[in-house]
Amino acid sequence: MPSIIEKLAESIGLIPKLHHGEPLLDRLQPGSALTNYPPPEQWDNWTEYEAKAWPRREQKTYDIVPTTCFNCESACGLLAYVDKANGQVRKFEGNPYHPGSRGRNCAKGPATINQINDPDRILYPLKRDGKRGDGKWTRVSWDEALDDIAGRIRKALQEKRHNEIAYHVGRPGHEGYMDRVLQSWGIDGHNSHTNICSSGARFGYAIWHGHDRPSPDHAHARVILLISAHLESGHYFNPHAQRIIEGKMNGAKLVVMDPRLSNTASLADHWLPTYPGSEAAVLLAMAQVIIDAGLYNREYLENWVNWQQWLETEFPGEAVVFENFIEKMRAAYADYTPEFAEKESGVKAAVIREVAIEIGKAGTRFATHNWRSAGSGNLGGWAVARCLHFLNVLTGSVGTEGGTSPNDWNKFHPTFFDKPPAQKFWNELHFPKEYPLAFFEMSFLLPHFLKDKRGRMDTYFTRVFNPVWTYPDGFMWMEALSDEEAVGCHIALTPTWSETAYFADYVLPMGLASERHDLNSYETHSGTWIAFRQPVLREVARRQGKDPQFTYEVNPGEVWEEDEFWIQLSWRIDPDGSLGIKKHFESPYRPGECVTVDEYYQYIFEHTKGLPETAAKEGLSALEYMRKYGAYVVEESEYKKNEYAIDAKALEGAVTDPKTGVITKNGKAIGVEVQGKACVGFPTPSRKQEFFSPTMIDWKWPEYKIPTYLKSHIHPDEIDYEKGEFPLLPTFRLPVLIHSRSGNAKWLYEIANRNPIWMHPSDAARLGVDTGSLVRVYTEIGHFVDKVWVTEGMKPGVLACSHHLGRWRRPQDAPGNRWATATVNIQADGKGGYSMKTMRGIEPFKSTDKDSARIFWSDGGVHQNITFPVHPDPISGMHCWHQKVRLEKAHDTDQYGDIFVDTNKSMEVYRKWLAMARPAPGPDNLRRPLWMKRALRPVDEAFYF
Amino acid sequence: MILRPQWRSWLVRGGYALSLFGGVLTLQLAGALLGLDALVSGFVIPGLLLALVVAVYTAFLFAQARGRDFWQSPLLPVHMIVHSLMAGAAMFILLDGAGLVSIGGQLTTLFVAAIAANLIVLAIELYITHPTADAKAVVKMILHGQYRQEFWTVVLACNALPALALYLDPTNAITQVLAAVLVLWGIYRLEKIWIEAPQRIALA
Repeated sequence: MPSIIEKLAESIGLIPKLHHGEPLLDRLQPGSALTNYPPPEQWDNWTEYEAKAWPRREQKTYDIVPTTCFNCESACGLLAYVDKANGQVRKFEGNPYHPGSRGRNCAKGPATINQINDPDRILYPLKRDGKRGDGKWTRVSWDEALDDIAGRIRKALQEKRHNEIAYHVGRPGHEGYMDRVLQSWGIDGHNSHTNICSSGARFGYAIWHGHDRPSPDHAHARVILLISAHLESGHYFNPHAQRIIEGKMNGAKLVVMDPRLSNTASLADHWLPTYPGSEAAVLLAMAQVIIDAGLYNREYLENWVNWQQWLETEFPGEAVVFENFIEKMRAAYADYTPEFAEKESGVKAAVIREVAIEIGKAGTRFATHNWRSAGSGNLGGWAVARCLHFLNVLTGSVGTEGGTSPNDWNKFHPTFFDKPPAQKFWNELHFPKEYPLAFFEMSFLLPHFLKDKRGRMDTYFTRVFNPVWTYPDGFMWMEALSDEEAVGCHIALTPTWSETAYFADYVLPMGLASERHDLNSYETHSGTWIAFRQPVLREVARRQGKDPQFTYEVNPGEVWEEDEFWIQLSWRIDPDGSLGIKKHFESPYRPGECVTVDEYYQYIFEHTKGLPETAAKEGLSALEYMRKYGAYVVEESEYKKNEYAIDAKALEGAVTDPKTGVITKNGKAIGVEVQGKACVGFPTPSRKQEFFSPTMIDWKWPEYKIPTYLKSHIHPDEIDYEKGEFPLLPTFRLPVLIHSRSGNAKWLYEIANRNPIWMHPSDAARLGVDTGSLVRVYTEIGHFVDKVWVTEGMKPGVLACSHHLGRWRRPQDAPGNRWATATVNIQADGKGGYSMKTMRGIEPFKSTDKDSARIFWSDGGVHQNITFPVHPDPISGMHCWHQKVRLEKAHDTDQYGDIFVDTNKSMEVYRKWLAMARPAPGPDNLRRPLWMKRALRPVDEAFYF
Repeated sequence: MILRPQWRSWLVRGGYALSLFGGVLTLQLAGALLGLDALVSGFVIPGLLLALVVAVYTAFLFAQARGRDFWQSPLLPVHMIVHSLMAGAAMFILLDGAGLVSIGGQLTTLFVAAIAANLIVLAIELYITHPTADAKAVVKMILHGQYRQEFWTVVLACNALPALALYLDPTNAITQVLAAVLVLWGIYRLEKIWIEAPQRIALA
């Protein structure tokens, strides 16, 4: 109630009248209960006050439509508020019905509104005009673009140049969609960002149990061990953060290994600032302590580890009994004492012992996570995940409540209306023979392979993918993409300008979170869920009784979505059906006609366990239910799926090996007999956890047949501090940014806009530098110039520089991401040398968004990745991100942001690392073990040379 | 703030107190100039009460900043009153020095007593009343950290020295004026420390 003074002041006109006596919204009346979220029955007509009109009470009415975030990989739920008055999205908030994010979002979710309203966004399809990379563009229609691209692909397929077509994905998240498209074309053309991201961790997990990701059940754990900063910025960080805190509130101990005092480390019960690359040594020392203390889970080890195979193969003639396994294991890890681990990592032996005992006591409630960080930074980084999972195996916490499940157990696999056969090709540009065990495509070597004339690409799609900026060796990418012989036609499918799109032939604008269809499912916790990303304006149009044919009809400009683009493109590649492609895009409901995007999802949802029945209870179809709520819980919580019985029908005609218990059918292992029960087990040759890996022996790496510690390429032995050398960690994420996709979000760049070199005060004192000092950082192929930030939050002797920052554009490029990009001048010396100088930093600019004139930051960071050479791990195929660098005080002529790279040196480093590989063939002339996962898996025959 | 008041805020309460106090002083000034003694004497009691509120409301305002542990001290209002007594006495001494008013010896005694009380309050605030880590960090900053030099200069040069000088020679006019100037300068520097130091603690 207004006070007398306020009423008086209003009545005599001293201040505006805000109290007209109009009734408050019902839910704001005195005595009414506030709700956390608008109730779904009001989502088609929700009224609330406009925040910006305050203190006036301006009511606005919205259509609320669920969708999912498109920024990081988590695909958290969003609710789009579409203003009924003008038909535009006003804001995004959390979707309480999303099982992963549960209505809570990080800063990147609501900032989607910035991306939608970005004054620099690309609104129409563009075709290059002039030389590739010149920055000149002409607007074309979708029909022109589709016909031209379809014609190219049709010609390539007719000429059997299947391996010249490639699709390279940066941000995935559409459950099997592209596999279906590419396999319908019959090509082995899938490439991804995986090997600059997670292949280290993937291999470490896969070599144990076939599954290549962890799904920790943090909420129910007693001890949570994180390698790096998963609470603030790691994989699935928002859903995980919620559950890590739930676990902590229930009494779980949080252990964090990170050389950096991240926000995650600051919340840990034990922060272990390990020297980068030493993590596996610490984990093996913990394993030793657990074994010595007898805290291992005998039942689990005895039943679910292939220990008999190890004893029989490595210790012939000795008793194959469990006690002998423990003794041999004890002997194998005798050297990995906590004292040894302390020497390698710098973490006190007593702390390692204490944590190991806590882990041992947590038993089956031990949740762990490693995704990028150590696994992606170091030569042999895959051993980190392998040794981490070793602790899960020892404690029997694989797939238990409060333990760590394989990701596949908590991830949904859709049923499609049509499944094309696997392709018969093997594309060596993506899966070269040098890396038979890689997880998966050697994508960051693509420009080097092209330069080595290993192949060419006639048609190359990049999908929300920016290797020129995100990948190492960006100048090599620029060279490759500029070479019209090596890359015939580059089509950038992207919501925003990027350093890679500048080198495209077509820039095709694709929708953001609320402008596209996708199906999402991620292993965020012990349940399984699906979420529906949908173009919200199309849904609003549908509620109004309209029926747009294509999503670009309702999106801003002619922004489209990939789902419909691929359907239309495929249809046009094979208009008469002669290539056998068209039939895979015919509607399951209207024979002979082209499938619509609605029909595609209708079929999937109609075939999702329990969804049609749940929808029917509300009088909705499965598709209508997903449109309304945007998400569905497929499975609440499931554990120990390895113990699931093989159903009787599958067992018919199956054979059980009396010695190993492995059950095979038609030559393929389908399960294992444990304690007299036929279980599905794990997808490995032994169908158990493979402590001992015959695969490593078969594929020429016998020294790593059991979990082992490898010295990193930045091990202290390799660093000469006297010469100013340091290990540099360039991988850590900032909580509010995401790779190069957040450059068009003003709120996010307002929060984080620079990436200085983190340095401990003792190192700064030794080098005579202070916060703000300019330094030159030499890598193997060049250098960059950045400022120093002196902080005790960094391990002494280690440097770090965050990812995401240092975005740029050239003077000739279309203005894009101006909240984040500096204008740079790139000069080539014609001999392989490239320099980049900042001409202008980030500046305010006039646009439809008044905030663009209020930009107060001028520093957008330094592009460090472009000065890094490629470091392919010879086993996992991971690009080993960490760098050995040499620091000097900046030279007199140096300016902040300066970069120099010699691509001749890039090729030298590439060849040096390539020589470390042990190429295929493996046994039986195989390109890759048949049992291992492969992206876009071809027919088995293609696995053989 | 004044016309849409939020009465629970000490910002509003202080704003009104300052306005009313200013009004009372204006009326008294007008009374003095016009020779209306009743106007001057009639507002002495309300003026005193408002002066008290004006002197201490800042303490309550600071206390409403819940994240600043150092400002949660229950002695903060006492600190403010003592400082206002010191400042008031110092001003009268200066006015006396300028020949504008005539003060008695009791005011000097009050001045010295107020300075002594101030030193006791400071000692309690800094050595006894801070149970939290953030408050302790502020105390450390003041006693041993970046404010060390300034704080001890204020205590010695702007409190202890003037009090001692006036105690030894209470009637010397030069001593009185110098002491008043030093005390006023000291109050300004000390309050600056009291406002600034707690805000140097990162809240997140």
